[in-house]
Amino acid sequence: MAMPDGAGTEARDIVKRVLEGEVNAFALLMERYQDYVLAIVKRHAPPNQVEELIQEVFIKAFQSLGGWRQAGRFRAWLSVIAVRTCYDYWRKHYRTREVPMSALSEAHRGWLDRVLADASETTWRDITRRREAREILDWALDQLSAADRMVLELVYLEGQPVKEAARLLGWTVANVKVRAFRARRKINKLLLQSGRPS
Amino acid sequence: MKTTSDRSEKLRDLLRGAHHARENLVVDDQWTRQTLRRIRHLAASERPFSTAGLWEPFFWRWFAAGGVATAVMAWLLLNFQFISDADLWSFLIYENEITNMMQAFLY
Repeated sequence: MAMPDGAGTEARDIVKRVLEGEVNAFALLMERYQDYVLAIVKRHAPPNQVEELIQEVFIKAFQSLGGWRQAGRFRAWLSVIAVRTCYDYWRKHYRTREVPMSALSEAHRGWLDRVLADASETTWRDITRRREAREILDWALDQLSAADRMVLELVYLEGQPVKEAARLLGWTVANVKVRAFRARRKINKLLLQSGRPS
Repeated sequence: MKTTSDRSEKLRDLLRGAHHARENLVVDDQWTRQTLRRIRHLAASERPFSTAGLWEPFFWRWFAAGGVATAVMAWLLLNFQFISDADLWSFLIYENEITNMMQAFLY
């Protein structure tokens, strides 16, 4: 796990060295924060894009290192780059993607209904790791826009405070609240109501 | 019988769990070497900092703007016939003959 950087004191020294031309010192920053950034990217990007996106995050960080306000925490600054890189990925992906599957498959719907009705607390952890759970999540998120997807993941699925999500995405708090509410309602409607036998 | 609220809560837990389970994905360490290589390449390809480099974008911007301004001025000089008769010009100014002044300027 990456170490916290306090008030950014040590990170500041490393950044200074990099800015003075010691490019190899950037490896220290990568080593220190890679687990933290990797966790963010894994949560917000498809598995086959993780390696590409994490490279992009660190390259963007390197290129904009001079813009890091040194009073802030380096880790927080890096998390903004990571989240926005993932958001940019989804925006591009949504522009070029094929039409998503219109309805959840019968097999998945049956599995979901059984799990929501019967699963006990003891088996819950195993259930969430099942392929079906991941596929249902992917399908549901695919029905949302890139912006709704990001805000839903941050606020609804990760439980981040609205203010933090607003900081990460560069939006207003009101915008995050509205989008999170609408996206959550849409997900609930998709998975709990539509397509069920009446 | 489960209520809608119960189902909604469970659905949230399920999706949350599935979301966090993504962190278990195993990624090999090759990306670190590739990233460092790309960063070194980037650093090497960037030109060293210089004052001339700092002014370069401004120079080309002003160079283009200056070119356009010169062309406009040249066109005006070639197309307008300036009055050589200083007495007439003084008279028109004195009489405040704006219309005649404009006509004299343009034709």
